[in-house]
Amino acid sequence: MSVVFTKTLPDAEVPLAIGESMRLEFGQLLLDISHNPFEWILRYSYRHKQADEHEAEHGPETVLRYVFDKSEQAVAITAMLADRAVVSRPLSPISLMADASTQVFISTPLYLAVNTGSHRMIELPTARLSDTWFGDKSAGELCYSDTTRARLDPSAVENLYFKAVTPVTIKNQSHRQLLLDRINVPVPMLQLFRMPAADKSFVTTSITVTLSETVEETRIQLGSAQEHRDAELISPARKPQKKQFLYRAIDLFLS
Amino acid sequence: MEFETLLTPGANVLVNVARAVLLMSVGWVVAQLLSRLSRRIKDNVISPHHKILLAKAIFWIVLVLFLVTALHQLGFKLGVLLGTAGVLTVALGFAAQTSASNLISGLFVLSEESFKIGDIISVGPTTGEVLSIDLLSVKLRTYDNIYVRIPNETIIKSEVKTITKFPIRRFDLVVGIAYRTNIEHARQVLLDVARDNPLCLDEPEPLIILQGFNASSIDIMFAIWSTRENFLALRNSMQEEVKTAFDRAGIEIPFPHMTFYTGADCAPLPIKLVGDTEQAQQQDKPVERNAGFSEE
Repeated sequence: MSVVFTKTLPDAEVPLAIGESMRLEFGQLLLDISHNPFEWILRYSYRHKQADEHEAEHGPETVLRYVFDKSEQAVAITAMLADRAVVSRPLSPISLMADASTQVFISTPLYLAVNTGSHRMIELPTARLSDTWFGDKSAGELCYSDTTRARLDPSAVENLYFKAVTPVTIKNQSHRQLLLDRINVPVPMLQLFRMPAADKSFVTTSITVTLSETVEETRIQLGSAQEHRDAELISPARKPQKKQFLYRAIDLFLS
Repeated sequence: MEFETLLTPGANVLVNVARAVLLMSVGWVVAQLLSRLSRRIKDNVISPHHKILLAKAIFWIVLVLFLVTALHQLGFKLGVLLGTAGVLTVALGFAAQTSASNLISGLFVLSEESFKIGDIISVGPTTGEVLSIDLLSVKLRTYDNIYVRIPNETIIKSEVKTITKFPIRRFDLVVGIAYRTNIEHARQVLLDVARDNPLCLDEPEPLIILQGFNASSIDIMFAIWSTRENFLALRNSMQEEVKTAFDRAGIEIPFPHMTFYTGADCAPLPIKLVGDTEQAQQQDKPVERNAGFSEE
């Protein structure tokens, strides 16, 4: 028996007896999970970015085997945020006027964790992410790179089922115009929620950046779980909030 | 009455030697123990490199202290020993100038911290992973698994490249395109290749520099960045992908070729072939052939 999930994630554990398999098509990821005696076999590949969804042209397949002496009879697929910060570039640069504030909505690709019982077999991104470097060439940080439409109107934000939306509030309290040509979203420090609405879209805790005249006075605050009271918490933050990180992020915002 | 007074002089010497040997044995064990204990210091308190140095220093200091005590036990006077050691040091200094030079260079290498254990360095033609940094030499393991010992004096005098010092590296690929190629088109193809390669960092952005008009091609330097872990994989994949992308886009990577020009009127070059000449001589008739780019 083979179970297929397309553009949606199973709400609960998927029972898979020995000899059974399941397929998941989510974002650019195509994942096949087979349950054999004493082992789980995972095959995954990524659809090329430019390829039409219906003419699925996939890249090379990776095969992984996970061996257990006593395996569970089910797998669980959990959505997560990326394991590194995502540097998101607006398709066209945004200038924020002096003494103005705005809220932009930035979407970042999800990760999927494949678990059986209490064992995590693998975490896979739902899209092929390219790497980028953030900061000084001798002491920066490796991040993922992505582009964003940086929508200002929440109703205009596209519901991309394999992405999570992060509301970023930027308060420019300085007396100079601010050019936002890239935004570092510290996703490992954010929580992931699923909205109860019909579309079941993914959202994260919000970020508020208050820019002042000097870097020292500039502050970044991460929102709390209270702001999504109706939503279901899907995944907690991977990393605790670090003051050091926030200062590095400020450098980016001012660049 | 003391125990020694009961023994004969010969037995006394034996007892002293036994005590000295015991002291040295205990000293060896204590030095090893303290040295190993110092290696347990956490990495966030002291770097692994300094930890090894500290362990070595503790071992030798403790051992020398026990050695001095053992010699004292044998009846040697410390003052005389130190005086002899001074003279011996001067004599050794002259006799072992190279070792002394390496020793002093070693102190500079250790204090300078240009590289640490585990780094990949290049010294002259040798590139490898640093296995240990000692007072006399630095030991490397090359990529082909050869153990190389480089004297510290050489390290101090040579240009040393620490390849793993910084987290990202740039790969410069120089590629030639034919003169008839549209440069802007070639530039776009290269940027597309960089964008589609997941190992290539988006930032720092890929750099394209026209290097000049070469004899057979327009040379372009394509500089791309990757993390140092992915550098080799990027270098391999990028060259293959550039060739494939150029082939697909109809961009020629020219090989060196030469055009023969025989003068303003471009008169054909007369060529006489030996076999034909002999035949012509037999027939009493000259043979002429036109020169061209290739002989067909």
